[in-house]
Amino acid sequence: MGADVVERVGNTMTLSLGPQHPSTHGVLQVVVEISGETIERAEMEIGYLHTGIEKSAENLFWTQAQTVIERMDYLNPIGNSLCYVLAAEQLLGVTDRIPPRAQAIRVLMTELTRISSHCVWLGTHGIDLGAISAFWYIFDIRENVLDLVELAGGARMHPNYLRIGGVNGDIPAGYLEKLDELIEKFPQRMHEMRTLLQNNPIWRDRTIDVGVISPEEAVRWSLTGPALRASGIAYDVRKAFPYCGYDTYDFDVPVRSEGDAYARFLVRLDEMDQAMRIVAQTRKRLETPGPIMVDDPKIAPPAKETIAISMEALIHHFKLVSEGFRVPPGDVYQAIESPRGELAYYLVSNGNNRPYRIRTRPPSMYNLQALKQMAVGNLIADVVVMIGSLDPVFGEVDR
Amino acid sequence: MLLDVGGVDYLERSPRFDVVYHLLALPVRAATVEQVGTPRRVRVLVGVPGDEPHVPSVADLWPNADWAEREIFDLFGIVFDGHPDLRRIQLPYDWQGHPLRKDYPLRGPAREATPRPAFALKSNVPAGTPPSGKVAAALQKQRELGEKGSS
Repeated sequence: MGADVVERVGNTMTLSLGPQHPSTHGVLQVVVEISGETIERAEMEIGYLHTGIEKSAENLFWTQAQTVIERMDYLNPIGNSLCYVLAAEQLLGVTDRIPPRAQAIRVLMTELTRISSHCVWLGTHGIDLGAISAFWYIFDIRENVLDLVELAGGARMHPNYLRIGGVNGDIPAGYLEKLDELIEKFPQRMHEMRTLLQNNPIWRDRTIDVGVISPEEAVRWSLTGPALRASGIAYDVRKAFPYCGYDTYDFDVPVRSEGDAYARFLVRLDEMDQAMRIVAQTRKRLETPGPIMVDDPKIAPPAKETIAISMEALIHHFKLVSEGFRVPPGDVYQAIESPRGELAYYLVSNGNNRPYRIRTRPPSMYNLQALKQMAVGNLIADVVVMIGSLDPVFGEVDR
Repeated sequence: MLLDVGGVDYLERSPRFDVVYHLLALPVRAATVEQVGTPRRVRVLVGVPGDEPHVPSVADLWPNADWAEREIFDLFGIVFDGHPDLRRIQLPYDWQGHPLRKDYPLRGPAREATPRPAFALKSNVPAGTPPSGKVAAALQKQRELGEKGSS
């Protein structure tokens, strides 16, 4: 573990950080060329977690593929399936027929996962810099959030709760009361986090003016999400290309102009508050009951109880389970705002019951790549800060 | 902004491959959501022949194309001319073949040659197991209703 000297040439030394270094949030090897303690060049080696998810998904039915796709970005499973589901719905042409209650549940679930993902980022970023107490406080919130995901979807991490055409089941009785508890508890906890870190002199010393990236460079390297917004560009897919009715929710897009690690930290903290604002709005909408699946027996499986009674239901059930449904030929690019940036799927269908091609636009991969530019001129000790502030998830980088 | 570079293999088509570029016209000075508005998104499809898969690299225009093009080279075997550092990125350097090609077997060439183990072919539910769960309950209920109706 730790840094190994690879070679020494003249005044520079080549060091290898990782791939099992605890600060790399997964398996990432950073090879840096340093002069004294200043980085002159940084190269990265990825692919340690490559699992061929795209290839596997192309050999599964449209509904089955969602299961493996959820495992790409393991901190944002519902975001991944939401993006895939929206893309498939566009190909099917049912986007306008998704019931509003299903849309609200989707928004609720994605915003909850956004909070839980940012909780993990904040906790581990804090640990990287030695602020261990923040980790315990924020993981308490994360547990509460994951409990809510489990209550609705049946699992904490990968519930596979969304479906092409809606969601798998309605939220259980008493769910909204549990949600109220979180909404009530959350601001106090965020206030504690801010008092722990935001004005902490050590935290500020380690993050201010570290890993600065200008707006021009951010666009050149295709940064998205909080990393782009910390550089002063207010691009948020939820506002620019609204999906799931995000244009009907009232929320702000936090923007900072400094472009350093501290700005990215503040943008993410503000984003957590905004996510909770959206959650509170979905809570109001979920008071009115309604359908949760699109009214199309070719896509939505029939209710289990009707199968033994109705012949059509039995046929539809049999067809959906044994060979899935077919999706009209075409291609579509569907983007959503994941906690890390613009997550998108470019889906190609050839009219079959399996997706022909699933190309992911992994926000982590593009964000992480900018480290090559960002690291130059910074200190070797700050590589940890910069990786943490970009929040890469290696399930998604390597897929 | 170059959003993404992806590849698609249409095995039977000519040209065989598509390299898919997604571009976004994002203003650099835009500190509010209104200033960003709805930026224009453009998709460019470049057909690449299967027998000689070569495409000019765009890594000199957009630095983020570096890893994206390496990934397509790795998984599809499309060569990007002028790329500064075209190596495999996801798979080990000594890997044979390009897995995202449609003629590459799902379980890999080596495992494809070996037969699946016998237990993988058997069902784990013994024959004659009575149905259970919601369907069985609904059937039972219907039977009861039917009995009531006939008596």
